[in-house]
Amino acid sequence: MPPEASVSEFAAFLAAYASLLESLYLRANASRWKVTYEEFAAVLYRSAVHRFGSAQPPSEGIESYFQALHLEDLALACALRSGSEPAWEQFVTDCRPVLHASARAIVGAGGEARARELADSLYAELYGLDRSGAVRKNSLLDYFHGRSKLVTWLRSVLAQRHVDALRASQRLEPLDDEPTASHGAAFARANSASENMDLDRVRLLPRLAEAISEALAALPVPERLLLSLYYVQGMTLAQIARMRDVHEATASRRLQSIRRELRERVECALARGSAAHDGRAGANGLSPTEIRRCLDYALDDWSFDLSSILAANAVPGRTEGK
Amino acid sequence: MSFNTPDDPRSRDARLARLLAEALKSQSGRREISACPDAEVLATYADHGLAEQETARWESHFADCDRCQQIIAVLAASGEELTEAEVEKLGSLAAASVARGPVARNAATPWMMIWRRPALWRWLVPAAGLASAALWFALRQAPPPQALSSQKTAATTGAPQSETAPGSAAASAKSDETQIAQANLPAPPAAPRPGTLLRDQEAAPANSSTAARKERTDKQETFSNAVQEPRVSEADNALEAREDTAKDSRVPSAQPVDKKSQAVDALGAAPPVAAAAAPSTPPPAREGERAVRQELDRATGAPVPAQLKALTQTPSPALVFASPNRRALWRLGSGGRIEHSIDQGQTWRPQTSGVTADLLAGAAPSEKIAWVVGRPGAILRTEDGEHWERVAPPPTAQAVAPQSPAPDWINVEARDALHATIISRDLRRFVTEDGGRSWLQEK
Repeated sequence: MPPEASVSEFAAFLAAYASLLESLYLRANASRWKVTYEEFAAVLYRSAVHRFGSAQPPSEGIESYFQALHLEDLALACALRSGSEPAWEQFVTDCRPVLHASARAIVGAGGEARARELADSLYAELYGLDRSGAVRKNSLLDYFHGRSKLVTWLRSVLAQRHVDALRASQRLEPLDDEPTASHGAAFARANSASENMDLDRVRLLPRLAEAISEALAALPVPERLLLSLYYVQGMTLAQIARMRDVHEATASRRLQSIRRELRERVECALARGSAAHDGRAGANGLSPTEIRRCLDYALDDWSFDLSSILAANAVPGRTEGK
Repeated sequence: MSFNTPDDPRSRDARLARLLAEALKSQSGRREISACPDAEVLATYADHGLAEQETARWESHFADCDRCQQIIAVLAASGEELTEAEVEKLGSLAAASVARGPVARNAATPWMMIWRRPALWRWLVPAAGLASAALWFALRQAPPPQALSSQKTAATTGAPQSETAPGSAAASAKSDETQIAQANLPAPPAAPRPGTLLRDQEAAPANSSTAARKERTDKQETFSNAVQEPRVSEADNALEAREDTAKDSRVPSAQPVDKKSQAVDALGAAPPVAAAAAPSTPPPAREGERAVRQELDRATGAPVPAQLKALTQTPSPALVFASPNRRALWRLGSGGRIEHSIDQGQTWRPQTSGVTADLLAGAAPSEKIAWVVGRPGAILRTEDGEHWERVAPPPTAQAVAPQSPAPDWINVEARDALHATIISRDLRRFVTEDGGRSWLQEK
């Protein structure tokens, strides 16, 4: 029985879903690892509690949730947690090489020692040792609930740790006299060093920044995510396609479509102009020649820092969970 | 509205998108880390296991969270580069076999190349003549199978029973040594357990037959599907070529994803159908046939089909380790199997390990020196790259009860022939500085 649940709640769960649990136990082939029915039911109960956030998981949807679990992996994890030697032998044979290879891939070419350290530390925690080598009460396997494949979950943990370690090691040097003014002022500061200041740039680039803000705000979430993963995180189309479970060509066409759509939105916004708002004067629409010049200014080698301009002019907030 | 510019609109689209990427970068990272999902949600997302509503919810978070985007990118790269790392270990030939898709199709490539390139025909006549001569020579040298078996018996019993002519017996005996030696090899290991399917895929991304390949593909992890699937079509390649090729060329173009083939996990105890379908050892190569194949392949410039075939008929051993300069590779497996390659994985020669235990890990500080460990308690070392000697395990490595079996050694790190560290399954570490004569447990 999960320690976090009361006896009565777990007993009620067992009674309510007895036939379902039995079929799941058989499907999981848990007896292969000598995992008892009660042990496996406890694991399923813990998984449901974690997913639904309640000690009494709702009856609606629980069957479909259980049916979608990776039951054999869950049974293996349960056996590993209880220290089953055959299960650990299987894990060492099958998962450990994958773990090491993933760690090598994550850390990169020159980090064999680091990769081994990353993989072995995870392996130790799975075994039930903490980072100092002492036996810990809870195993990392307690956090696996069968929603994904066991190997994918292990890779996810590795990736999380690696990214968090990188982010923690990056030094964020605070800038002196960090600008907090509007985007126009930030632009002007960036411009002021240039001896041959082009008045057109001063006039046009803030318009471009605003148009881009509008275009991004209007972009649907999946498309914004695709754009970020491709251009900001440097994922390849193949990786993105696998992540989205589509053909690589489909991902490629979608990306092209997004770019085309964004360009059209930006052009329309620049051509339309803007009405006066929030104390700012309105702006007339730009001509096609001006629009073209606008983009050229932003895309040439001159130091146009769009990031700082947009950071100064925060994009309208998006709420999570939409 | 559109531009009347000489620039390609697609080029302007790409440039504008990069500008937008900068904007996105500046906006990311504003989410609190406490709002980020746990590893299982990320893994389930990668496995396409989240419900539609949940996917939308988390993608909304991912779109603005630099941390989660980084994790997703690393997670994607870890799976893909897993295959790349193993391919690199097997050498460029393995990379070529992976990139070119099924072996069955590759096997036809040299002939198709000949037909499609008339310029190659001028090489066909001399190549055929040379091949015929080599074949004639080989057939002339090789005794009939009956004589071969007689010689094998003579080799084992010491009684000469050869039926061949006395004059040719001595001359053919040497050329048959290889065949006799190969015929006297230990029986191939049993079909691998279900769990070893994943190991097989690591060592031999391309399978021997299309049918076995499809079965294995259905059981692969998501990340390894990218290697097994056929390449993107030419039209799709052209489409992709318009993209930022500098970025995409970092990784070989992966193959289209088969939505239906991603559901099964190798850990799912699927019956070893694929493994049983694949022969566990490649057939002994006859010298004449090999020469013919090599001549034809040199003429066509195509990769050697025999080597591809041998590579893709990789038996159950799949743990590969190499010397630092990658000139020497070893391949380990169950039943004490060790194979050695000095040509970056193009050919493998079996070595005698002297044990029948499963070998689990190896390390090679140089081309000649290597350590191998396995179960139960197996520790091996070679100082010439060829001959393996068994090393006594640490006496204190036994479990508390003296009657307990020796522990399994699951990892080894080696600096040279004298210095090595072995790790048991319960993560105890033992160090030697004298080639295994004595061990010290690390605290």
